[in-house]
Amino acid sequence: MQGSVWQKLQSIDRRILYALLLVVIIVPLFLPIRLPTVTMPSTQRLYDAIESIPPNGFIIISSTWSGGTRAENMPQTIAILRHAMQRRLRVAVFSFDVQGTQLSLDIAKRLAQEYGYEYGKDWVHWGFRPQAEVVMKSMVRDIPGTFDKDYDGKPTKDMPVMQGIRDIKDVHAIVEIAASGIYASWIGLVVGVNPDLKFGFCPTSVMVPETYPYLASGQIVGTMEGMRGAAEYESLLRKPGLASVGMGSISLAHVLIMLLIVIGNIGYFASRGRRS
Amino acid sequence: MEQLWQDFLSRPGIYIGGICTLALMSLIYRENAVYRFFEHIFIGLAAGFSIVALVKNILDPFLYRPVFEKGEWYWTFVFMFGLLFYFIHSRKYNWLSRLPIGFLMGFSAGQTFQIFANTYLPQLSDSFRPLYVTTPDGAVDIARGVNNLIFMIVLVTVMSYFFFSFEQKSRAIRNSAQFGRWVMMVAFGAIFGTTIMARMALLFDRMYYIFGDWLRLVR
Amino acid sequence: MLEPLVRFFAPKPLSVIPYYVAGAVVFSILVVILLINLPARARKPLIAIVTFLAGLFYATEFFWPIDEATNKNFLTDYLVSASKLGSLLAGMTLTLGILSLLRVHGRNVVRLRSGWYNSLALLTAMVAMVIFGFMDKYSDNATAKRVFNVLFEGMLINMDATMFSLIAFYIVSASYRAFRIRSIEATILMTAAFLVMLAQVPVGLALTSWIPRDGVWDFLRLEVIKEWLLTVLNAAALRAIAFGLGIGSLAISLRIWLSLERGAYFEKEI
Repeated sequence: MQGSVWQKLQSIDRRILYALLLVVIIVPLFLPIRLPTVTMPSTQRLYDAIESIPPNGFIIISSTWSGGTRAENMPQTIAILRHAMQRRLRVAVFSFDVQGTQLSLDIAKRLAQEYGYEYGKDWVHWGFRPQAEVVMKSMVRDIPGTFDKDYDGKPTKDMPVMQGIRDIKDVHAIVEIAASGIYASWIGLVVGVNPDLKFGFCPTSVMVPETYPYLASGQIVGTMEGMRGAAEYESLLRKPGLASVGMGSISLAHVLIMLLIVIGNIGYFASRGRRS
Repeated sequence: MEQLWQDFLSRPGIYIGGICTLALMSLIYRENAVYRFFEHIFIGLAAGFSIVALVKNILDPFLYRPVFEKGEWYWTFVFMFGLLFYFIHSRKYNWLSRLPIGFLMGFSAGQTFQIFANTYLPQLSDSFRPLYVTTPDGAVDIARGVNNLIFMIVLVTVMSYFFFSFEQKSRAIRNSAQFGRWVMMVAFGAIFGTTIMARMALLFDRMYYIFGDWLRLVR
Repeated sequence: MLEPLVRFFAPKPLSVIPYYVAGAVVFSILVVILLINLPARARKPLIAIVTFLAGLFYATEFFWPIDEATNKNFLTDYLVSASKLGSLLAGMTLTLGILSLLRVHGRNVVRLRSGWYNSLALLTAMVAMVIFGFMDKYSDNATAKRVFNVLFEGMLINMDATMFSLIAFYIVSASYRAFRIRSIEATILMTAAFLVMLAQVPVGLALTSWIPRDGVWDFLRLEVIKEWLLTVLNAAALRAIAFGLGIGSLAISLRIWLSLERGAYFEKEI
């Protein structure tokens, strides 16, 4: 009888596990868990980098994500755009992903309205660009030539927002929000050419550990680490959003998974002990 | 009922999105006909969107406008070259698709030299870290010195794990590789931990969409 | 010597564009006919030459010395054109799978195979997205824009997000069933994972928030431990792995550029 208990601990029905997961995710939506976040150094560095850009500085935001990772990348995009617009920087947005183009355009339009940003004068959306490496290589030397049209096919050459922007040396910062390893191409083709350029990266949580070697060498100035990073950035901006709301649910989900792993191992060791 | 209908008419996308979300999530109970039906709709929408994206984001700005508005007629050759991709569906002339594929692969390969130099040389120079570190006011920073030493030891031992060109007979190299293996487990544990965060975030987003955006039970 | 060629390929007045485009199409078709009739033994060398020339552009642009005064070499001015060429060419791969989809699902519907209604739903969704997608871009019809919004934001984006969110359930189930401490490596992996997981959520951070910051014992705070794990151990380990990957990718790229690569795709008879 006792032996079967340890076996049962190792083989809880998956539907019970799924139900438990749904409960821990849904309950905090109705009973919020309000705990203070601690801002990680990497998030603070990204925030400080954007803060250090002089007024009317030029920032490029590359929004290379799609609907599948919107949970993490959307709050990151909103946070970075908000910060740029709060600081009255000139903003250029584009994407190497077809879905990301439309999604970032919708977000930028909404925030532009909120901050009184005028299209063409304060911000521009360059649309979709496939084949990232060739675009990056070209934009280092000639930004107006590479992005001669906006998302709607209108010429960008005479837009006030693009005045004085010839090549990468005229850009103060680039922030890439992505769910892929595209940061390596940015570092290899753009950042390496102009070490004064601040390059920020907002990855999904999965990719966070692999960015640390580049944080250490200074090739990435700062990161927003997934949804948690977005929540930290929202608290730095004092504008809580979806990421901040989600931390309660995600906290409990983490605790659940750790408990389940511990339970499974207790069952494993106990049944191994009984067999020996 | 009338109120529900009015609400649906004012935000049909949210209602339909909610239904689609629940239909696909039914998979977690078991594979079923409803899931399969909506899965096919999803694939159809994605395929249709790729066609729209091709015309709207590629052919219009990179072909039609340069050719018919700026007179840059030579882009026609590039378009015709790109059409060779579609010979991939031909059993007899399949090899023609290798021409544009080879071209794009060559394009990417040619840039690897610069990417390698700009990515890894700074990484290499950052790896040689000082063991004697002082703070701005001149005091010895023992913690940073120790951390730098640990960093370099870990780097070398993990690299030694990947020496496959010769048999690791020497005990020093075998022990070094074993230690490197253990340290790699720390990195993989960190990756596992952050992966959990990513997946839970995706699920949270869906639950917020259902209970917040759609049913408006949560603000 | 190149002057006539440069003049021929220069932008032309819009009135003669249709003729030049038609000529380019006819010429391209003739080239394709020529390629089709190429002897089989000439195919692989031709592909190798195309691959090599494509890579030669960027490799030369990187290695060729730049003029100090202008900060560029003779190829730098062509980077923008190369990027447009690459974008146009790469963009045309977006719809490569459509023909297969149409073939498979079209056949299902026409022959009323099992699950034909699913295939019909797929084709209907595809056509609807195409029609309303074009109307959203090229017409002012408000209803069409609304329908496109429903199809894209309401359906496509939400379904994409839902598909990815299903992984959360599987990762819970897989972690619970498979994560067993059977070895030293597994113990280290699990310890690191637990520390990182606890330190990245407020509930976990609250466990050590009582330890004073900047005090003697602040290294026991979870976020400090996590930061140390990631910046020292993790960064060093992944950097070492990245060096190996970097050298490997350089070698592979060189092999692909010079058409030395072997394997199922490269060695297949064409």
